[in-house]
Amino acid sequence: MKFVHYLEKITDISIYPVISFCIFGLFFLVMATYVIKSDKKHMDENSRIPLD
Amino acid sequence: MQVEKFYYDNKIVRAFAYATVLWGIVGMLAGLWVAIQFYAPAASLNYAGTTFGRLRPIHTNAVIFAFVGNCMFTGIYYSLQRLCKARMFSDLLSKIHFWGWQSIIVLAALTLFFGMTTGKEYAELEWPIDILITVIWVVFGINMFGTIIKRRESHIYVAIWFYIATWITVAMLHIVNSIEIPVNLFKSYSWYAGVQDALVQWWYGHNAVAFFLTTPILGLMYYFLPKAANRPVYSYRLSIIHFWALIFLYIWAGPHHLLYTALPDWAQSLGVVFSVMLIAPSWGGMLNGLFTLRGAWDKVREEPVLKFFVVAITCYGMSTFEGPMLSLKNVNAIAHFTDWIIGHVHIGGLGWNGFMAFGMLYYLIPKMFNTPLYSKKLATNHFWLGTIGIVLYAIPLYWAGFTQSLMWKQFTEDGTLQYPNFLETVTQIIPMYITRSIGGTLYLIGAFFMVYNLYKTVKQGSFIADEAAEAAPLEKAHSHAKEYWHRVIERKPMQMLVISLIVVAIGGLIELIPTFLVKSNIPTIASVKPYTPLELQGRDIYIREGCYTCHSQMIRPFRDEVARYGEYSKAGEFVYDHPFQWGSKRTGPDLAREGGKNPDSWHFMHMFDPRQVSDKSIMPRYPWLYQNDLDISTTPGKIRAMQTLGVPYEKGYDQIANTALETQAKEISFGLKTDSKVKQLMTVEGISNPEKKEIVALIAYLQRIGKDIKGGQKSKTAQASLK
Ligand code: HEC
Repeated sequence: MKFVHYLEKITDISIYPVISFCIFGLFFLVMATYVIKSDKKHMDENSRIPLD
Repeated sequence: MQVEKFYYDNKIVRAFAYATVLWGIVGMLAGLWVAIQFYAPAASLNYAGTTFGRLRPIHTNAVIFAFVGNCMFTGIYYSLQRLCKARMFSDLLSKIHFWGWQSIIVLAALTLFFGMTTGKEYAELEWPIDILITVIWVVFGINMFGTIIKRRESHIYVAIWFYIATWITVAMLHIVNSIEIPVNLFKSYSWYAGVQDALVQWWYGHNAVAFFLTTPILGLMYYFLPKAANRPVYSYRLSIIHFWALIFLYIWAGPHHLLYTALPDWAQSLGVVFSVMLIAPSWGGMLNGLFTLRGAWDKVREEPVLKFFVVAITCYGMSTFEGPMLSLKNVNAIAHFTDWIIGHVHIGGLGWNGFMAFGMLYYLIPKMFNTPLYSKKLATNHFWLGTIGIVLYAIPLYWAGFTQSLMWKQFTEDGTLQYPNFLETVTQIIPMYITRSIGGTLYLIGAFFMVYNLYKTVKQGSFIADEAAEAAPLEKAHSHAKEYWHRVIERKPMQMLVISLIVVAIGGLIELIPTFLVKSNIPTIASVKPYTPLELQGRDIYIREGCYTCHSQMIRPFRDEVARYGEYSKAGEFVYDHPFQWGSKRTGPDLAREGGKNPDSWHFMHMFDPRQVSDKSIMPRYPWLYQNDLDISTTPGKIRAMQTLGVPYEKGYDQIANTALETQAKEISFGLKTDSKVKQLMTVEGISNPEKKEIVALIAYLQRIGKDIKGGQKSKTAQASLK
């Protein structure tokens, strides 16, 4: 009587978490690359916006 | 380049700031009142509007949407203008936003007081108010984006990203979770049922915490902390990562509220994994905040504003560490449904939200009134009272949660429950409840200090309604061909909006869609039938009185829960439950198998005065259910609404539903009248015609819960005498 058994009828349900994980991984990599590659001067300028 | 002269609108900031203080006090008072009801049930005044089940939603709605909501708007209206070097887009929209939001709050308080509720936590407001919220939220959005578009600063500072993500995500959550079928002006049914309703609700509920209580306040942190410390944020790079990772991950975490429930396993696992990953961006943000103060700790010693911020950020760190821990299945198995969770949310609520709000107000009011704070000493005292208050609030509840959970799960050597009487596990932790309310009182007294301090500051200063500023207008954008994509987005608020939406929508869609596709796959348990009209009416009374704030209807597949309550809950049992009533806290026992457990007469006596039946019970009395006539004029409309939602009542059943209702009510009251104790109570209290009263409908519902798969136990109506 467990709910999962009925869910198993959707083919390959387990793919969902895997897809999610991959999307996040990719997203994170792209973002991290951007952040690391961005130049320091630009970052410093931006971080001073509240203070000017 | 020609500099332009313009004025910041401080009036709107002041209005929201005052509203923050007012609703903060109101919300906390309501909180203290419900806290006292835990050990002094008479504090419910035996009056419907002030019982726990109605007051608790008033408390939660007041602190979330009125206190933190107004705090968020105060900070956004102040910081956005300055970060954009522009006045708000439209003074008129600002005013509409302000008055619109305050009227929503008043309407919310009134309707909840009168028991008009959808029965979904933190989304209790009925459909006309839901629509009003949507309209006002759009007004706020136009005003905010208008301001961003006419800004004089090319880069959009990270605080504003948090505001944008907040705006779009709250809009999405609110709309999706509020889809409901109106029965009349004051009553609607959730469009979703059972498992799906639960998933949507906690996808909403968790992200209300994320995108109403967290992201906007992080935005405020990224503005006000550097301001107050007079130094830029520790790492702007880190803040970018913090932002994107946080909004991406948060949206997936909702199912951790539903571990071990009838929710599909894959969705539960997804919720766990993403919840655990959330530690990383959350702590990144916390460290970014704390490191901003590196080398400036001498300032923290002197400046109450910074003191508040430091503790707030620390509490943010604590609750975002605890959150993922609570998502681990084995920890969750212990903590869920207990006071541990209440302790957890108050570290966030009192520590993070409250202290951020206080720090911000102590910073803003003197600035806008062009005067120093009236008394730093008083503010420091507020700080200490508040901090001790938080500790005294949270620790007893962790203790209580842990103790009670262990007692629930304790078996004797011969394999029976050590504490079969649920109430025993409640009376054990009453001292903790008392200590908690003392902590809350200290915190509240501190808040009163603030009211006085700010009042004096306002009196001694002179308000700058329009603050002069100047800046050069933005140059026309030239070609950015060689720039990074992100740098381009950073200049374009609309793109930012769209990308944030995509980022948060992915999580929602991947989680929700399969669960909806599953609809056809939910095991239709043949014996699960729609509620009878009387039971349906009774269920609506259950929702109206907020019984779900103390009772769950979800037996998890644990040995102790099955031993205590009976067969664990199945997804297929809830297919006609619009809305679901699984609950989130067990102050009283689970009711998922209540049907047939006690005789009708027991319920009749118990609901009238629980302490007459269960000694030392802390459940409120419900005497008005014995006086109010059941309003059966709504029955046909309710049946039709249910039919629209796919509940298989026969065609035309709405017309004959009341006949069935009256027959069932008569049967129950006939049985009741044969019981001597019931008869005595009716005579003493002057209760006549029980078959017409609300109590009979409620009893009908209670006797139905969970019975469909219980194998048709006979209702032990009146024959059995009272225990
Ligand atoms: C403040 C929390 C609180 C609220 C609100 C509350 N209850 Fe209770 N309820 C309890 C506690 C504690 C017990 C256990 C002691 C007892 O039997 O009274 C209990 C017991 C019960 C029981 C007996 C369960 C059993 O099998 O032993 C029923 C039935 C019940 N409540 C129904 C309701 C209904 C219906 C409402 C709403 C109208 C409601 N309760 C609201 C706290 C609450």
